[in-house]
Amino acid sequence: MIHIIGKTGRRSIRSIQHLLELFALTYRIMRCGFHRPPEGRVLVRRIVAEQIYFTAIQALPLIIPIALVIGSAQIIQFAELSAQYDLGKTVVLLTVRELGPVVTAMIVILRSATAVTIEMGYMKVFHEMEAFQMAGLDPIRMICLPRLFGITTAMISLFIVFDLVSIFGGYALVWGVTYIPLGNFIVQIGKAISGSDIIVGLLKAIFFGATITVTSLYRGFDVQKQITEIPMATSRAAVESFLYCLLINIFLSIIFYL
Amino acid sequence: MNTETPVVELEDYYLAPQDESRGFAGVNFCLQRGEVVALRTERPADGRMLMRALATWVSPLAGVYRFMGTPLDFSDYRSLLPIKAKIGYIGSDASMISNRSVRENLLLQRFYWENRLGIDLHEKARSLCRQFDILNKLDMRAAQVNSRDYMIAICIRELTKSPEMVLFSQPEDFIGHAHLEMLVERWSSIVDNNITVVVFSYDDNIIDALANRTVTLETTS
Repeated sequence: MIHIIGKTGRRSIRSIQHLLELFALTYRIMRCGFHRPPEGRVLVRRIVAEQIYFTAIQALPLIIPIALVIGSAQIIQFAELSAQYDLGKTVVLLTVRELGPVVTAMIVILRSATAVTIEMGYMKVFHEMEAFQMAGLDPIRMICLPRLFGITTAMISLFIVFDLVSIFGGYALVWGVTYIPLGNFIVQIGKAISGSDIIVGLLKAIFFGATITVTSLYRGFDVQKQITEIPMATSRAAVESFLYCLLINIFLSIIFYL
Repeated sequence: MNTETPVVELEDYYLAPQDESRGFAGVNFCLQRGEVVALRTERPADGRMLMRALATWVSPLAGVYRFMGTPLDFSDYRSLLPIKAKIGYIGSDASMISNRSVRENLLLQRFYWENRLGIDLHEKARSLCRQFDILNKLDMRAAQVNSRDYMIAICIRELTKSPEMVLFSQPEDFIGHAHLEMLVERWSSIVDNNITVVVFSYDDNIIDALANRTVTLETTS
Protein backbone atom coordinates (compact mmCIF):
# COMPACT_ATOMS: atom_id res chain seq x y z
CA MET A 1 0.00 0.00 0.00
CA ILE A 2 2.78 2.39 1.01
CA HIS A 3 4.54 1.45 -2.19
CA ILE A 4 1.49 2.44 -4.28
CA ILE A 5 1.04 5.72 -2.39
CA GLY A 6 4.73 6.50 -2.81
CA LYS A 7 4.61 5.78 -6.52
CA THR A 8 1.48 7.89 -6.97
CA GLY A 9 3.07 10.71 -5.00
CA ARG A 10 6.27 10.63 -7.05
CA ARG A 11 4.33 10.60 -10.30
CA SER A 12 2.20 13.52 -9.13
CA ILE A 13 5.27 15.53 -8.14
CA ARG A 14 6.87 14.79 -11.53
CA SER A 15 3.71 15.85 -13.37
CA ILE A 16 3.45 19.08 -11.38
CA GLN A 17 7.13 19.76 -11.96
CA HIS A 18 6.67 19.14 -15.68
CA LEU A 19 3.74 21.56 -15.83
CA LEU A 20 5.70 24.18 -13.92
CA GLU A 21 8.60 23.78 -16.33
CA LEU A 22 6.23 24.27 -19.27
CA PHE A 23 4.93 27.47 -17.67
CA ALA A 24 8.50 28.60 -16.97
CA LEU A 25 9.47 28.06 -20.61
CA THR A 26 6.35 29.91 -21.76
CA TYR A 27 7.18 32.79 -19.42
CA ARG A 28 10.77 32.93 -20.63
CA ILE A 29 9.71 33.00 -24.29
CA MET A 30 7.02 35.61 -23.66
CA ARG A 31 9.50 37.75 -21.71
CA CYS A 32 11.87 37.54 -24.61
CA GLY A 33 9.03 38.69 -26.86
CA PHE A 34 8.35 41.77 -24.75
CA HIS A 35 11.98 42.79 -24.18
CA ARG A 36 12.95 43.18 -27.78
CA PRO A 37 16.43 44.54 -28.39
CA PRO A 38 16.80 46.42 -31.69
CA GLU A 39 19.28 43.85 -33.04
CA GLY A 40 18.05 40.78 -34.81
CA ARG A 41 14.47 41.93 -35.38
CA VAL A 42 14.69 41.39 -39.12
CA LEU A 43 16.11 37.90 -38.66
CA VAL A 44 13.46 36.97 -36.08
CA ARG A 45 10.69 38.31 -38.34
CA ARG A 46 12.00 36.20 -41.19
CA ILE A 47 11.98 33.05 -39.06
CA VAL A 48 8.41 33.86 -37.93
CA ALA A 49 7.34 34.22 -41.58
CA GLU A 50 9.00 30.90 -42.45
CA GLN A 51 7.23 29.20 -39.56
CA ILE A 52 3.85 30.60 -40.67
CA TYR A 53 4.57 29.32 -44.17
CA PHE A 54 5.47 25.82 -42.92
CA THR A 55 2.58 25.57 -40.46
CA ALA A 56 -0.24 27.44 -42.21
CA ILE A 57 0.34 27.71 -45.95
CA GLN A 58 1.75 24.22 -46.40
CA ALA A 59 -1.12 22.78 -44.32
CA LEU A 60 -3.83 24.28 -46.55
CA PRO A 61 -3.97 21.35 -49.02
CA LEU A 62 -4.60 19.13 -46.01
CA ILE A 63 -6.99 21.22 -43.96
CA ILE A 64 -9.28 22.28 -46.81
CA PRO A 65 -10.31 18.73 -47.86
CA ILE A 66 -10.69 17.71 -44.21
CA ALA A 67 -12.87 20.76 -43.51
CA LEU A 68 -14.97 20.02 -46.61
CA VAL A 69 -15.50 16.39 -45.62
CA ILE A 70 -16.37 17.24 -42.01
CA GLY A 71 -18.56 20.20 -43.02
CA SER A 72 -20.52 18.32 -45.66
CA ALA A 73 -20.97 15.25 -43.45
CA GLN A 74 -22.29 17.46 -40.65
CA ILE A 75 -24.71 19.29 -42.91
CA ILE A 76 -26.02 16.03 -44.42
CA GLN A 77 -26.55 14.45 -41.00
CA PHE A 78 -28.04 17.45 -39.23
CA ALA A 79 -30.23 18.42 -42.15
CA GLU A 80 -31.92 14.99 -41.73
CA LEU A 81 -31.91 15.08 -37.96
CA SER A 82 -33.21 18.55 -37.21
CA ALA A 83 -35.40 18.91 -40.27
CA GLN A 84 -33.29 21.93 -41.25
CA TYR A 85 -34.70 24.17 -38.51
CA ASP A 86 -31.71 24.09 -36.16
CA LEU A 87 -29.15 23.37 -38.82
CA GLY A 88 -27.38 26.73 -38.56
CA LYS A 89 -27.24 26.57 -34.79
CA THR A 90 -25.98 23.01 -34.79
CA VAL A 91 -23.31 23.74 -37.39
CA VAL A 92 -22.10 26.80 -35.45
CA LEU A 93 -22.19 24.91 -32.15
CA LEU A 94 -20.14 22.05 -33.47
CA THR A 95 -17.84 23.66 -36.00
CA VAL A 96 -16.97 27.07 -34.57
CA ARG A 97 -17.05 26.15 -30.91
CA GLU A 98 -15.66 22.64 -30.80
CA LEU A 99 -14.65 20.85 -33.98
CA GLY A 100 -12.84 23.75 -35.63
CA PRO A 101 -10.25 24.36 -32.92
CA VAL A 102 -9.78 20.68 -32.08
CA VAL A 103 -9.37 19.43 -35.66
CA THR A 104 -7.07 22.35 -36.47
CA ALA A 105 -5.02 21.58 -33.37
CA MET A 106 -4.78 17.95 -34.40
CA ILE A 107 -3.50 18.87 -37.86
CA VAL A 108 -0.98 21.33 -36.42
CA ILE A 109 0.21 18.69 -33.93
CA LEU A 110 0.58 16.05 -36.63
CA ARG A 111 2.40 18.34 -39.02
CA SER A 112 4.24 20.95 -36.98
CA ALA A 113 4.56 19.88 -33.34
CA THR A 114 6.27 16.67 -34.39
CA ALA A 115 8.51 18.56 -36.82
CA VAL A 116 9.48 21.12 -34.18
CA THR A 117 10.32 18.42 -31.62
CA ILE A 118 12.44 16.52 -34.12
CA GLU A 119 14.19 19.72 -35.20
CA MET A 120 14.93 20.74 -31.59
CA GLY A 121 16.11 17.25 -30.67
CA TYR A 122 18.39 17.16 -33.68
CA MET A 123 19.73 20.64 -32.87
CA LYS A 124 20.37 19.57 -29.30
CA VAL A 125 22.18 16.33 -30.21
CA PHE A 126 24.32 17.97 -32.90
CA HIS A 127 25.21 21.06 -30.82
CA GLU A 128 23.34 23.47 -33.08
CA MET A 129 22.07 25.33 -30.01
CA GLU A 130 25.72 25.99 -29.17
CA ALA A 131 26.21 27.26 -32.73
CA PHE A 132 23.63 29.99 -32.02
CA GLN A 133 25.19 30.74 -28.66
CA MET A 134 28.71 30.92 -30.08
CA ALA A 135 27.43 33.62 -32.42
CA GLY A 136 26.22 35.50 -29.34
CA LEU A 137 22.57 34.79 -30.14
CA ASP A 138 20.01 33.67 -27.57
CA PRO A 139 18.38 30.39 -28.70
CA ILE A 140 15.17 31.36 -26.88
CA ARG A 141 14.90 34.47 -29.07
CA MET A 142 16.15 32.86 -32.27
CA ILE A 143 14.42 29.48 -32.03
CA CYS A 144 11.57 29.53 -29.51
CA LEU A 145 10.08 32.99 -29.96
CA PRO A 146 9.62 32.75 -33.75
CA ARG A 147 8.06 29.33 -33.39
CA LEU A 148 5.67 30.50 -30.68
CA PHE A 149 4.48 33.47 -32.74
CA GLY A 150 4.57 31.58 -36.02
CA ILE A 151 2.64 28.52 -34.90
CA THR A 152 0.11 30.53 -32.89
CA THR A 153 -0.57 32.85 -35.83
CA ALA A 154 -0.80 29.85 -38.14
CA MET A 155 -3.21 28.16 -35.74
CA ILE A 156 -5.53 31.19 -35.74
CA SER A 157 -5.41 31.42 -39.54
CA LEU A 158 -6.05 27.70 -40.01
CA PHE A 159 -8.91 27.80 -37.55
CA ILE A 160 -10.59 30.60 -39.54
CA VAL A 161 -9.99 28.72 -42.82
CA PHE A 162 -11.35 25.51 -41.32
CA ASP A 163 -14.55 27.18 -40.07
CA LEU A 164 -15.26 29.01 -43.31
CA VAL A 165 -14.50 26.04 -45.57
CA SER A 166 -16.33 23.63 -43.32
CA ILE A 167 -19.51 25.73 -43.16
CA PHE A 168 -19.71 27.24 -46.64
CA GLY A 169 -17.68 24.69 -48.58
CA GLY A 170 -19.55 21.90 -46.84
CA TYR A 171 -22.81 23.55 -47.79
CA ALA A 172 -21.68 23.97 -51.40
CA LEU A 173 -20.73 20.30 -51.61
CA VAL A 174 -24.12 19.02 -50.41
CA TRP A 175 -26.25 21.76 -51.93
CA GLY A 176 -27.59 19.47 -54.61
CA VAL A 177 -28.76 16.73 -52.25
CA THR A 178 -30.13 18.55 -49.21
CA TYR A 179 -32.41 21.15 -50.83
CA ILE A 180 -31.54 23.74 -48.19
CA PRO A 181 -31.91 27.21 -49.69
CA LEU A 182 -28.68 29.21 -49.45
CA GLY A 183 -30.51 32.24 -48.02
CA ASN A 184 -32.03 30.16 -45.24
CA PHE A 185 -28.70 28.58 -44.42
CA ILE A 186 -26.86 31.88 -44.19
CA VAL A 187 -29.63 33.46 -42.11
CA GLN A 188 -29.56 30.50 -39.73
CA ILE A 189 -25.78 30.72 -39.38
CA GLY A 190 -26.00 34.49 -38.86
CA LYS A 191 -28.61 34.06 -36.14
CA ALA A 192 -26.78 31.25 -34.44
CA ILE A 193 -23.31 32.74 -34.29
CA SER A 194 -22.54 35.22 -31.53
CA GLY A 195 -19.59 37.40 -30.65
CA SER A 196 -18.62 35.05 -27.85
CA ASP A 197 -18.45 32.12 -30.30
CA ILE A 198 -15.86 33.97 -32.35
CA ILE A 199 -13.94 35.12 -29.26
CA VAL A 200 -13.92 31.63 -27.74
CA GLY A 201 -12.82 30.12 -31.05
CA LEU A 202 -9.96 32.60 -31.32
CA LEU A 203 -9.00 32.14 -27.68
CA LYS A 204 -8.88 28.40 -28.17
CA ALA A 205 -6.74 28.82 -31.27
CA ILE A 206 -4.32 31.09 -29.37
CA PHE A 207 -4.06 28.80 -26.35
CA PHE A 208 -3.76 25.70 -28.50
CA GLY A 209 -1.05 27.29 -30.62
CA ALA A 210 0.96 28.35 -27.57
CA THR A 211 0.48 25.00 -25.83
CA ILE A 212 1.48 22.96 -28.87
CA THR A 213 4.58 25.08 -29.47
CA VAL A 214 5.81 25.13 -25.88
CA THR A 215 5.19 21.41 -25.38
CA SER A 216 6.98 20.44 -28.56
CA LEU A 217 9.90 22.81 -27.84
CA TYR A 218 10.18 21.48 -24.29
CA ARG A 219 10.21 17.87 -25.44
CA GLY A 220 12.79 18.71 -28.10
CA PHE A 221 15.04 20.43 -25.55
CA ASP A 222 14.60 17.45 -23.25
CA VAL A 223 16.63 15.29 -25.65
CA GLN A 224 20.12 14.91 -24.22
CA LYS A 225 22.81 13.15 -26.23
CA GLN A 226 21.38 10.26 -28.20
CA ILE A 227 19.55 10.61 -31.49
CA THR A 228 17.45 7.59 -30.41
CA GLU A 229 15.79 9.80 -27.79
CA ILE A 230 14.17 11.89 -30.54
CA PRO A 231 11.37 9.47 -31.56
CA MET A 232 10.33 9.08 -27.92
CA ALA A 233 10.36 12.84 -27.39
CA THR A 234 8.32 13.35 -30.57
CA SER A 235 5.71 10.83 -29.54
CA ARG A 236 5.45 12.39 -26.07
CA ALA A 237 5.17 15.89 -27.54
CA ALA A 238 2.32 14.86 -29.86
CA VAL A 239 0.34 12.99 -27.20
CA GLU A 240 0.87 15.64 -24.52
CA SER A 241 0.01 18.50 -26.87
CA PHE A 242 -3.25 16.85 -27.89
CA LEU A 243 -4.13 16.04 -24.29
CA TYR A 244 -3.45 19.62 -23.13
CA CYS A 245 -5.48 21.00 -26.04
CA LEU A 246 -8.46 18.83 -25.10
CA LEU A 247 -8.22 19.95 -21.48
CA ILE A 248 -7.98 23.62 -22.47
CA ASN A 249 -10.91 23.11 -24.83
CA ILE A 250 -13.10 21.74 -22.05
CA PHE A 251 -11.92 24.41 -19.63
CA LEU A 252 -12.73 27.29 -21.99
CA SER A 253 -16.08 25.74 -23.00
CA ILE A 254 -17.04 25.45 -19.32
CA ILE A 255 -16.03 29.04 -18.59
CA PHE A 256 -17.91 30.54 -21.53
CA TYR A 257 -20.91 28.27 -22.04
CA LEU A 258 -21.89 26.88 -18.67
CA MET B 1 56.70 42.55 -17.05
CA ASN B 2 53.41 42.13 -18.91
CA THR B 3 50.81 44.41 -17.29
CA GLU B 4 48.12 43.85 -19.89
CA THR B 5 44.92 42.09 -18.74
CA PRO B 6 45.10 38.44 -19.75
CA VAL B 7 42.52 37.28 -22.26
CA VAL B 8 41.73 34.20 -20.19
CA GLU B 9 42.41 33.43 -16.55
CA LEU B 10 41.30 30.25 -14.84
CA GLU B 11 41.67 30.33 -11.08
CA ASP B 12 41.26 27.18 -8.95
CA TYR B 13 39.05 25.80 -11.68
CA TYR B 14 37.30 22.51 -11.01
CA LEU B 15 35.60 20.52 -13.73
CA ALA B 16 33.50 17.46 -12.98
CA PRO B 17 34.27 14.18 -14.76
CA GLN B 18 32.20 13.94 -17.90
CA ASP B 19 31.93 11.19 -20.51
CA GLU B 20 35.47 9.80 -20.78
CA SER B 21 37.17 12.75 -19.11
CA ARG B 22 38.25 12.42 -15.50
CA GLY B 23 37.74 16.11 -14.78
CA PHE B 24 40.14 18.73 -13.47
CA ALA B 25 40.87 19.97 -9.98
CA GLY B 26 42.27 23.38 -9.17
CA VAL B 27 43.46 24.41 -12.62
CA ASN B 28 45.28 27.74 -12.76
CA PHE B 29 45.79 28.93 -16.26
CA CYS B 30 46.46 32.26 -17.90
CA LEU B 31 46.52 33.26 -21.57
CA GLN B 32 47.91 36.56 -22.77
CA ARG B 33 46.84 38.41 -25.88
CA GLY B 34 48.52 37.09 -29.02
CA GLU B 35 49.79 33.89 -27.41
CA VAL B 36 49.46 30.64 -29.34
CA VAL B 37 49.38 27.94 -26.71
CA ALA B 38 49.57 24.21 -27.28
CA LEU B 39 47.60 22.30 -24.70
CA ARG B 40 48.82 18.94 -23.45
CA THR B 41 46.73 16.57 -21.37
CA GLU B 42 47.13 12.93 -20.38
CA ARG B 43 44.08 11.79 -22.30
CA PRO B 44 42.39 13.20 -25.42
CA ALA B 45 39.01 13.34 -23.66
CA ASP B 46 40.49 15.62 -20.99
CA GLY B 47 41.87 18.01 -23.57
CA ARG B 48 38.58 18.10 -25.44
CA MET B 49 36.76 18.81 -22.21
CA LEU B 50 39.09 21.63 -21.29
CA MET B 51 38.67 23.16 -24.72
CA ARG B 52 34.89 23.00 -24.27
CA ALA B 53 35.32 24.57 -20.84
CA LEU B 54 37.40 27.38 -22.34
CA ALA B 55 34.60 27.87 -24.88
CA THR B 56 32.26 28.22 -21.84
CA TRP B 57 30.28 25.15 -22.91
CA VAL B 58 31.02 23.40 -19.61
CA SER B 59 30.18 24.98 -16.26
CA PRO B 60 32.76 24.57 -13.51
CA LEU B 61 32.13 22.96 -10.16
CA ALA B 62 34.17 25.72 -8.55
CA GLY B 63 36.66 28.38 -9.47
CA VAL B 64 36.74 31.55 -11.49
CA TYR B 65 36.93 32.03 -15.25
CA ARG B 66 37.94 35.57 -16.15
CA PHE B 67 37.62 36.64 -19.77
CA MET B 68 39.38 39.94 -20.52
CA GLY B 69 39.40 40.56 -16.78
CA THR B 70 35.68 39.98 -16.24
CA PRO B 71 34.64 37.00 -14.08
CA LEU B 72 32.04 34.91 -15.88
CA ASP B 73 28.67 34.05 -14.37
CA PHE B 74 27.76 30.52 -15.41
CA SER B 75 24.41 30.60 -13.59
CA ASP B 76 22.73 32.48 -16.45
CA TYR B 77 23.56 31.40 -19.99
CA ARG B 78 22.50 34.81 -21.34
CA SER B 79 25.35 36.57 -19.55
CA LEU B 80 27.78 34.28 -21.40
CA LEU B 81 26.46 35.07 -24.88
CA PRO B 82 28.60 38.22 -25.46
CA ILE B 83 31.66 36.23 -24.30
CA LYS B 84 30.89 33.27 -26.54
CA ALA B 85 30.61 35.64 -29.48
CA LYS B 86 34.26 36.56 -28.89
CA ILE B 87 35.47 32.97 -28.84
CA GLY B 88 36.04 31.01 -32.01
CA TYR B 89 35.61 27.31 -31.32
CA ILE B 90 36.80 24.91 -33.99
CA GLY B 91 36.32 21.32 -32.92
CA SER B 92 34.65 18.13 -34.09
CA ASP B 93 31.59 18.99 -31.98
CA ALA B 94 31.19 22.49 -33.45
CA SER B 95 28.31 22.70 -35.87
CA MET B 96 26.35 24.80 -38.29
CA ILE B 97 22.58 25.27 -38.41
CA SER B 98 21.73 22.35 -40.68
CA ASN B 99 18.56 23.73 -42.27
CA ARG B 100 20.28 26.95 -43.35
CA SER B 101 22.63 27.38 -46.27
CA VAL B 102 26.38 27.56 -45.69
CA ARG B 103 26.26 31.24 -46.71
CA GLU B 104 23.53 31.96 -44.15
CA ASN B 105 25.57 30.18 -41.51
CA LEU B 106 28.58 32.30 -42.30
CA LEU B 107 26.42 35.44 -42.17
CA LEU B 108 24.20 34.53 -39.22
CA GLN B 109 25.99 36.72 -36.70
CA ARG B 110 26.04 39.68 -39.07
CA PHE B 111 22.34 39.19 -39.99
CA TYR B 112 21.60 39.55 -36.32
CA TRP B 113 23.88 42.37 -35.25
CA GLU B 114 23.55 44.48 -38.41
CA ASN B 115 19.79 43.80 -38.37
CA ARG B 116 19.47 43.31 -42.12
CA LEU B 117 19.41 40.34 -44.42
CA GLY B 118 20.59 41.83 -47.71
CA ILE B 119 24.30 41.51 -46.97
CA ASP B 120 27.01 39.39 -48.50
CA LEU B 121 30.21 37.84 -47.21
CA HIS B 122 33.15 40.02 -46.28
CA GLU B 123 36.12 39.87 -48.60
CA LYS B 124 38.13 37.85 -46.05
CA ALA B 125 35.43 35.19 -45.73
CA ARG B 126 34.96 35.06 -49.49
CA SER B 127 38.69 34.73 -50.03
CA LEU B 128 38.91 31.86 -47.52
CA CYS B 129 35.97 30.12 -49.19
CA ARG B 130 37.82 30.45 -52.48
CA GLN B 131 41.10 29.16 -51.04
CA PHE B 132 39.41 26.15 -49.47
CA ASP B 133 37.26 25.51 -52.51
CA ILE B 134 33.80 25.85 -50.99
CA LEU B 135 32.70 28.93 -52.90
CA ASN B 136 30.37 26.85 -55.09
CA LYS B 137 28.81 25.21 -52.03
CA LEU B 138 27.74 28.37 -50.25
CA ASP B 139 24.12 28.06 -51.33
CA MET B 140 23.79 24.43 -50.31
CA ARG B 141 22.20 23.62 -46.98
CA ALA B 142 24.75 22.84 -44.31
CA ALA B 143 23.34 19.32 -44.02
CA GLN B 144 23.98 18.72 -47.73
CA VAL B 145 27.72 19.43 -47.87
CA ASN B 146 30.27 16.72 -47.14
CA SER B 147 31.84 16.53 -43.71
CA ARG B 148 35.18 18.02 -44.80
CA ASP B 149 33.58 21.09 -46.40
CA TYR B 150 31.25 21.34 -43.42
CA MET B 151 34.20 21.62 -41.02
CA ILE B 152 36.05 24.01 -43.31
CA ALA B 153 32.97 26.24 -43.34
CA ILE B 154 32.94 26.15 -39.53
CA CYS B 155 36.64 27.14 -39.50
CA ILE B 156 35.91 30.07 -41.80
CA ARG B 157 32.90 31.12 -39.73
CA GLU B 158 34.84 31.06 -36.48
CA LEU B 159 37.96 32.73 -37.85
CA THR B 160 36.03 35.55 -39.52
CA LYS B 161 33.79 36.47 -36.62
CA SER B 162 36.49 38.74 -35.14
CA PRO B 163 37.23 36.57 -32.10
CA GLU B 164 39.49 37.51 -29.19
CA MET B 165 40.42 33.86 -28.76
CA VAL B 166 40.39 30.88 -31.10
CA LEU B 167 40.17 27.34 -29.78
CA PHE B 168 41.44 24.76 -32.23
CA SER B 169 40.59 21.29 -30.95
CA GLN B 170 42.14 18.24 -32.64
CA PRO B 171 41.89 19.60 -36.18
CA GLU B 172 43.68 16.52 -37.53
CA ASP B 173 40.51 14.54 -36.72
CA PHE B 174 38.11 16.43 -38.93
CA ILE B 175 39.95 18.52 -41.53
CA GLY B 176 41.40 16.62 -44.44
CA HIS B 177 45.19 16.41 -44.57
CA ALA B 178 45.57 18.72 -47.57
CA HIS B 179 43.32 21.40 -46.15
CA LEU B 180 44.90 21.18 -42.72
CA GLU B 181 48.33 21.63 -44.23
CA MET B 182 47.07 24.63 -46.18
CA LEU B 183 45.41 26.08 -43.08
CA VAL B 184 48.55 25.71 -40.96
CA GLU B 185 50.71 27.15 -43.72
CA ARG B 186 48.52 30.23 -44.10
CA TRP B 187 47.63 30.54 -40.42
CA SER B 188 49.55 33.75 -39.85
CA SER B 189 47.83 35.45 -42.76
CA ILE B 190 44.37 34.22 -41.68
CA VAL B 191 44.54 34.83 -37.93
CA ASP B 192 45.63 38.25 -36.65
CA ASN B 193 48.70 38.07 -34.45
CA ASN B 194 46.95 39.76 -31.53
CA ILE B 195 44.42 36.94 -31.23
CA THR B 196 44.98 34.35 -28.52
CA VAL B 197 44.94 30.82 -29.86
CA VAL B 198 44.74 27.53 -27.96
CA VAL B 199 45.64 24.46 -29.99
CA PHE B 200 44.86 21.01 -28.70
CA SER B 201 46.37 18.42 -30.98
CA TYR B 202 48.36 15.20 -30.97
CA ASP B 203 49.97 16.15 -34.27
CA ASP B 204 53.40 17.58 -33.44
CA ASN B 205 53.69 19.20 -36.84
CA ILE B 206 50.66 21.39 -36.12
CA ILE B 207 51.98 22.31 -32.69
CA ASP B 208 55.46 23.06 -33.98
CA ALA B 209 54.06 25.22 -36.75
CA LEU B 210 51.60 27.20 -34.65
CA ALA B 211 52.37 27.23 -30.93
CA ASN B 212 54.79 29.50 -29.10
CA ARG B 213 54.11 28.01 -25.65
CA THR B 214 53.03 24.64 -24.29
CA VAL B 215 50.83 24.13 -21.26
CA THR B 216 50.53 20.66 -19.72
CA LEU B 217 47.56 20.01 -17.48
CA GLU B 218 46.98 17.10 -15.15
CA THR B 219 43.58 15.58 -14.57
CA THR B 220 42.00 14.62 -11.27
CA SER B 221 43.61 11.44 -10.01
